[in-house]
Amino acid sequence: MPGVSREDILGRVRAAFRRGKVVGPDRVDHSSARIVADGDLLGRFTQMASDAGMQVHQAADARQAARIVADVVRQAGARRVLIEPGTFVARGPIVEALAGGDLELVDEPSDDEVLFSADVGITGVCGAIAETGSLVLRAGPETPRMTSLTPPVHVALLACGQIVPDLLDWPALHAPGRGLAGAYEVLITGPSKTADIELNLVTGVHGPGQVHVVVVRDR
Amino acid sequence: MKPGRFGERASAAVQDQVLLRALDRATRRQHEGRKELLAELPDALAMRTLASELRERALSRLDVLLGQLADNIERAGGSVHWAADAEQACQIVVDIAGRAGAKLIVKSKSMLSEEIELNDALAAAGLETVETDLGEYIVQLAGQKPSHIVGPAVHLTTGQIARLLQEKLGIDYTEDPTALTRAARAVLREKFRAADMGISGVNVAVAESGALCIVTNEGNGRFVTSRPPVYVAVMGMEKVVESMADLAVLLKLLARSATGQRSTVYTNLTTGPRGGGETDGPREFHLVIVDAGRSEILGGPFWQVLKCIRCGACLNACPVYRKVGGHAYESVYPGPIGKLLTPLLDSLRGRAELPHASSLCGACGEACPVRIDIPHLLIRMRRVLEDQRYSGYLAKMAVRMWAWMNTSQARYAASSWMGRHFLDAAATDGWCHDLPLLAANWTRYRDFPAMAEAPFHKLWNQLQSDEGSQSCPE
Repeated sequence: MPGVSREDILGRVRAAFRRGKVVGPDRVDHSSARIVADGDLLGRFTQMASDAGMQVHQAADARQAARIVADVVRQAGARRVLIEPGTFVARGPIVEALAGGDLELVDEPSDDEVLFSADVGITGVCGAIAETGSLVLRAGPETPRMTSLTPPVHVALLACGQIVPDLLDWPALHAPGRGLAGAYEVLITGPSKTADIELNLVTGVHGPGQVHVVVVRDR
Repeated sequence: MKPGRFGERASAAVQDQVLLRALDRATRRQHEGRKELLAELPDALAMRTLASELRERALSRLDVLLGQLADNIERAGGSVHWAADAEQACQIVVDIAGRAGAKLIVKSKSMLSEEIELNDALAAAGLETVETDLGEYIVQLAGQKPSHIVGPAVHLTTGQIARLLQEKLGIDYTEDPTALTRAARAVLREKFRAADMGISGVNVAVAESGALCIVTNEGNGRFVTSRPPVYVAVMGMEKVVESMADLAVLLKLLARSATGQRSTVYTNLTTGPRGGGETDGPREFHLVIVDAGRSEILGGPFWQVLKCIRCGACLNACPVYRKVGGHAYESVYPGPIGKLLTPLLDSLRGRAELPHASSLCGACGEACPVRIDIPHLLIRMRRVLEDQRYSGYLAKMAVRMWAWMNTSQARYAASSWMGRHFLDAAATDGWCHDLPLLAANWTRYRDFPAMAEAPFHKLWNQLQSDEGSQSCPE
């Protein structure tokens, strides 16, 4: 392989330290960066997610959530719907509500054709952040990366208790000791956007142009 | 400023009315958006100070953090490569592509890849590389270079883009941004689907978790890191921070400073290849850590430029950038931070006139989310470059002559008498517009003030004696 060894590069860094005067503080205190500590997390999440262009729906329970999802799917005129195989809030009732009719409900796409032609993708989340109105999705065997990416409409199911206050609380969403090693994780804050053509806002560039968040208050 | 190539390009740029309008609109909107969103923070200055401190702390422990990052990525099943310079970095990526048998590469925006001219290296190896950020894709189709760190195509109007896509993609002419975006999406979708390899830069790397963070609004970053079987991240060695909390602070400032958003749409973290049982994600995961002059900068007086998180806020704030645009700088990194990075970085050396393309108004320093003192570093950079350039005999003589003139009262008085005589004769309304000989280099670009009627020491003496003759009021 071309290139040099790790020790070569780290040696250059150490030589630079000896030559120069790079100094940093002994510790840093992140508390001044906190924007949201507590309070009405659902209210803050809803406002920020809406500002970012997501459509936030509230459901009292799983049944109502399923009805909302069925409405979104119908309005999208969807024929093929991807649904994450893993468990998430209201998944059972959603599958029930979408079954029947001429809708094709797919949990594991058999090929690329199915994956790239799906009209809606339905997923759970591993958390949400009130400060920015972001959804946190984490890849795993039952939570593939593509379900929330290839279809033009993404529907995310969220339980009210999954919302943490601030971006600083993001690490707290991870299982203790597991950290992020080997993981893929994405924060989603709005529909796919661009302003590259004379600053005109266009949605749905590469990812979904519509993101619906259904918050279930009582699972 | 010396009339170098920047001068010529800048003169041409300010006469381009279309460019001026596009730039004015883009930079003003992002600049205003940034100010508005920083204002809603509880204490923006405290947060910028924190960001500055955590970047300085990370740089002061760079060897430890890079080692930790590499360990974590290798533990997760990824490979880490180390490149001393641009050439090595390109060769590493070309080799990875070769071993994987890759033909088609999809790429997410990366300033480092522009700096090391990775696309040229991949093309020379016979590989097709497609930029997938819409702005970068447009610039690539046009055969141009990006003109802004964050908005690569800010210099182009809708009409220009419409003609370009009509010609290159064979679509009907339309100035509807949505229709143009849809056309590009359709082409790029197929590229994502068929790509053998994905390449991206890295916005921030987190040592404690081994996570590489890239932020995109369009979602191309997600495709590039998730879809192709091989993924390669190229990263400047300065991009690492200690903790996820550090990352959170930088994310809060990055989106606000870059585009006036509270958060970028997609904040993407990757640590390694797909895990056991996963049905998508790359099977091969590579991180290329690139020095290319950075360790040299770290050991010198300009080490603080390495704190930069490439948000582009200093470009949008800069009165020079806002009038001349990115291409006038003829550098991958334009604007205020580019005036420092360009002369410092290996691959870009030799643009000594750039640090002079500044009025030193200080707007860039005010805008910087990690509080890099750009104006003072620019002054220091001018001094360093002038020391290198004007070591000639004539220049030394001129400076010695000036010192001789000004270290004696009599000689100083004589020179200011001459100055008053000649300059005042050449001046109208107190300004000289057109001086002869060497002084013409100055007046070609700006006016030179005439001398005051009475010199300062005369006024001072006058004042002293006036005060002395008056009695102090009770």
